[in-house]
Amino acid sequence: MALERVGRQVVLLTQIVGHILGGGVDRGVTLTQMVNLGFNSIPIVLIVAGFAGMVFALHTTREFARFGATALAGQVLGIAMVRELSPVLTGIVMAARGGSAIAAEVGAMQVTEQVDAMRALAVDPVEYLVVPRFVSCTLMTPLLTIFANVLGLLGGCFVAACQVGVSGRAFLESVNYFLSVGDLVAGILKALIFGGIVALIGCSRGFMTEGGAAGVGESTTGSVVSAIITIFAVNYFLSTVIFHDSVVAW
Amino acid sequence: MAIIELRGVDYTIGDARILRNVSLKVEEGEVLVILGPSGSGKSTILRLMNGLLQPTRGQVFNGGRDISELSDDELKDVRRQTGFLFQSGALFDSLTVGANVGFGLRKVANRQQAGEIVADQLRLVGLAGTEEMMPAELSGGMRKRVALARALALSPRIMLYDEPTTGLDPKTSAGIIQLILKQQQRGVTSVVVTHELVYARQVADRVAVLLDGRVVAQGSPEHLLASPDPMVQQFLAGGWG
Ligand SMILES: Nc1ncnc2c1ncn2[C@@H]1O[C@H](COP(=O)(O)OP(=O)(O)OP(=O)(O)O)[C@@H](O)[C@H]1O
Ligand SMILES: [Mg+2]
Repeated sequence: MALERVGRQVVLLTQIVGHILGGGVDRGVTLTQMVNLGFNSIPIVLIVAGFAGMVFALHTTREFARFGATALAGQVLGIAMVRELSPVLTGIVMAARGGSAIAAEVGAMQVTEQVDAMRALAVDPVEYLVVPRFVSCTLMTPLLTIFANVLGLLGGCFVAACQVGVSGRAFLESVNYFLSVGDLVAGILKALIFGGIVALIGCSRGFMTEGGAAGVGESTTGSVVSAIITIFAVNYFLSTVIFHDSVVAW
Repeated sequence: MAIIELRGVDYTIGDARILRNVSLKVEEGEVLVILGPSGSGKSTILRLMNGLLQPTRGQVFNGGRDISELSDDELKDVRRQTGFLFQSGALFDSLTVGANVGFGLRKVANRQQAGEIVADQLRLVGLAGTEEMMPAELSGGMRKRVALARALALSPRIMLYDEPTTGLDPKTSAGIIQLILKQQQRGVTSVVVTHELVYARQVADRVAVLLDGRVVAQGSPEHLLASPDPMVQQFLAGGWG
């Protein structure tokens, strides 16, 4: 069952890539989806990332302050945020908000024969339903991750300055000094992959929906759970590969 | 030549045998009515005819070609030629009535042409000027008529109607029957699935009776009424459905 699902997802992915390479992307539908899935997720991403940065800084800044190494506080948060927290948290938000919406919408269309109606009208549901959602998710997740980086660091800086008494300026300077462009790119690249995972799982679960409203509910929950698990697992492997020889310059 | 043909078709889901050894021919230009009680496999037959389902055994021909051997693009061509009225209507509920009716035209007509075709089709089903309404604002009968307009918008050579009159008032039903007959006069081949004998007799050139996944009788309506088969007689007398 799980293997069958993965198989279907691989098939779906090749179809998506085929359509994208063939230029078959419906701009109008894609734009609508970018607003629905991406733009409307901005507030929640900002809130989640902001508080994550704050709580992270609360612990680290205090500890570093005890050893008089406050300059390192910004560095640690910067690396944690940009490399891991922002992409993963954004991926989770996308899975919860976007992936569930995709699975529910496609699933409802599946059980009410709308997907079949599309096929009967000689329109490929992969082209019309899946490709726009896939493209929007893969584009919007990295963008949201950039926002998450900014808010996370600002949140951390705020806590360092107001609660621990480290100068905000020194904090941000240490972030700036230690963080490389490579870290930023790596985080964004991971976010792009997470976005693709969310859309792919949401759509394929949607298409596999059977049995009315209850089935739609199952697909929705299932898609969120599998997307989150997949994101965490894939993130571990990606980080192992991307950061295998990266040593932070002290 | 038969424009649609099922040859020895079985269709099974898991252990359930939905269709058993079904052979059917639909001749060009005729109206074939498939009569059968609820659950006998009527919708399944229609779905096989335009390739929404693939037979477990046997072959399905549409336009002289085995559907299972078509490429994606060829299958799309077949489907453009084969209008399908879904039993549930299956309107796209996030799109307006106009966008629903024009959905299949997106790649074959420009915006203005499509707009004209949509207006024409809606007028034909008695729903002129409803382009901006959403499916949720429509009654069941109106939805069925929008679905009909959507299926006819591509001017198909073949129309597959799944229970076109079920659940509609007599006046709307009569209107839909008129529409089916009008299509036939234009040379459109039709397959009409129903369990309503009255309407079957009004449109049918030929009738096939489906019971429990098997075609138990085929022929002209008169031929069928005279059939000695007790199962057929029981169905015709209203014993089922
Ligand atoms: N997914 C499925 N799993 C198992 N059995 C199914 C499934 N879908 C349909 N069936 C069975 O297939 C049979 C034929 O279904 P079909 O929809 O073709 O019937 P029908 O003649 O169109 O009925 P109705 O007049 O009620 O629309 C039914 O007995 C139904 O129970
Ligand atoms: Mg049916």
